[in-house]
Amino acid sequence: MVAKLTKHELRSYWKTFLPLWGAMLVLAVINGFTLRTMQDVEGAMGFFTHVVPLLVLFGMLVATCVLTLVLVLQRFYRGLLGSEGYLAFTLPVSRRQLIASKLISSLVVEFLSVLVVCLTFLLLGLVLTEADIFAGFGELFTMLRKLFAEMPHESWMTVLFCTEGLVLTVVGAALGTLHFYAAMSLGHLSGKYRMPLSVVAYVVLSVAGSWVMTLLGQLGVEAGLFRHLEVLMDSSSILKSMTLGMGVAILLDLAGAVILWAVTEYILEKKLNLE
Amino acid sequence: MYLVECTDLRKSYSGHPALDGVDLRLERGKIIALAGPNGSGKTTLIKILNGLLQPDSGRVTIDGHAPDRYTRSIVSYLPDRDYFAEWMTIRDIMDYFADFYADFDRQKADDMCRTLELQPAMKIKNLSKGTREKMQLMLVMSRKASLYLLDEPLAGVDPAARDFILHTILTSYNDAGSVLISTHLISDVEQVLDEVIFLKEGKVILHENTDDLRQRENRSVDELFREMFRVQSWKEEE
Repeated sequence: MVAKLTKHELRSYWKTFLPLWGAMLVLAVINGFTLRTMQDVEGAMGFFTHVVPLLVLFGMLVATCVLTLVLVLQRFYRGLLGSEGYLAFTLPVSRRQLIASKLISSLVVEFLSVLVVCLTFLLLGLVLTEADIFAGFGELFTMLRKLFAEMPHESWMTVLFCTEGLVLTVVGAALGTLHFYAAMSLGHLSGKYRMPLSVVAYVVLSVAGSWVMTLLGQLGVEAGLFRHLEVLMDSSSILKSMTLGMGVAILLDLAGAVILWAVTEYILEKKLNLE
Repeated sequence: MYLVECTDLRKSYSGHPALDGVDLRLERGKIIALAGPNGSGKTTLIKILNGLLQPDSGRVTIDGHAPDRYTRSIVSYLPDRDYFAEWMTIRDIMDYFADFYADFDRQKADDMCRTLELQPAMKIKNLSKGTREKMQLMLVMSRKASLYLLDEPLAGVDPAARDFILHTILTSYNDAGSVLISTHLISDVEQVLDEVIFLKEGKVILHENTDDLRQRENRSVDELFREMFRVQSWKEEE
C-alpha cells in the first residue's frame, strides 16, 4: 500500500518538477555554450550574453529549492489536513502508511532536486571547459584503486565515513521534514488558528529539540560518557573519531525522527478534525 | 448483526453538543435518509462513521468493527465537498480508486463516464461544479460497498442533475449493502427511501420505515419533516 500511495504522491510532484528540472539542465547547457563561444563579447551585449543567462539560471536554482520546500509542505497540508484529506483518510490504509508515503515521496523529490542542481553545475562546467568527463572518471577510478591497494584500512574507513555521511543526510532530511509534519499536525489541533499555531509549534519543537540535545550532552559529561569515547577513539586517527561521531549523530537524529513521527501519527489517528 | 450500530454517541465542539446521545441501528439492504436542518449533526455523524472524527464518548461499529482499515474498505463515502486534487484527470482518479479499493468496478465507472459524456483525459479543474459532483458520485457508486455514506449529494445541483443522481444511486448500489443519504431535501429522495431518520440538535427524534410513517401520519415524509422543523424554527424566532 505504501508503494501505491508513494506512486500517486510522486505523480503530483512530477507535473511541477519535471519541466522545471528539464529547463534547468537545458539552460545550463545553453549557458555553457554561450559563455564559451561569446567570451570575448563586451559591454551591453556582454551583459546580455554572459550575466543575464547566469542570473536566470541562478534564479531557477533558488526557485527549485524554495519550490521543493513549499510543495513538500503543501502536499502534506492539503493532502491530509485539507479537503484531499477526505479522500486520504477514507482509504483502507493506516495513518502510518499515509505518513510514510508522504515522507518517502518528499525525500525522493528533495534528493532529486539536489541532484539536478549538482548536475546543472556539472553540465555548465563540462560545456564551458570542454572537459572530457569519461577521462576524468577514468583517472578517478585509477586513483581510488591505487589508494585501496596502498592503504586498505584507511580506505575502508573512508568508505564507511562516506556511507555514514549519506545515511546522516537521509536521516537528517527525514528529521527536518517530520519536524514540519509534526508542527502542522499540532497546528491542526486548533479550531481557528491552525496556520499560526503550526508556526508556533515549529518554533517550540525546535527549541525543545535544542534543550534535549543540551541536556543529553550534560548527562553525557556527568556520566563520563565522553571519557569512554576518548578511550575508544585513537587520537592519531581523526577519521575514526569522525566516523564514531557521525554514528552518534545518526542515532540522535533517528531518535528525533521517531518521536516526531509518533506525535504526527497520534494526532492524525486520535485528534483528526477535518473541516 | 446490524450493519451500523451507534450507542450513546456524543460529540461536542467548544462545549456545544453536535451529537447528544445518538442511538442507531441500521440494517443491510436499505436506503435510509438522515434528515435534519443545518447544524443538526448529520455531517458529524457521517464523519464519525468514516473515522474522520473521534466521538467524545459512545460506541460506533460498522459490520461489528470500530472505524478502521477494514470498515474503510467496505464503506464508500461521498463528502459534501470536492476532495480530489485539481491537477488530476478523470483517468488518474479512476486509477487511484482501482489501486486502493478491491471492490471498485472499473467497467461500471467507464460506462458511467460515457453516459456523462466525460473524457478520461479531462482535468478535474476544467469540469463544472455539477459535472464534478456527478463524477464524484459516479466513482463512489462504482464500488460494491457494504455501506454508502452520501453527505448532501443533492445540494447545489439543478433538478435535472438531482434526477440523474437519484437514478445513479438506485441503479448502482450494491443491494446487499445500505445507503445512508444525509439531506435536508426530503421531497427529492422520498420516493426511493426505505427508512428515514430525523436528527435534531444532535438527537435522533425519529427513525422509522417510510411506508409505515406515511400510513400512520397520513402525509408524506417531506410534509412531516417541514412541520416538525418549522414549528421549532417559529419557536426560536419568538
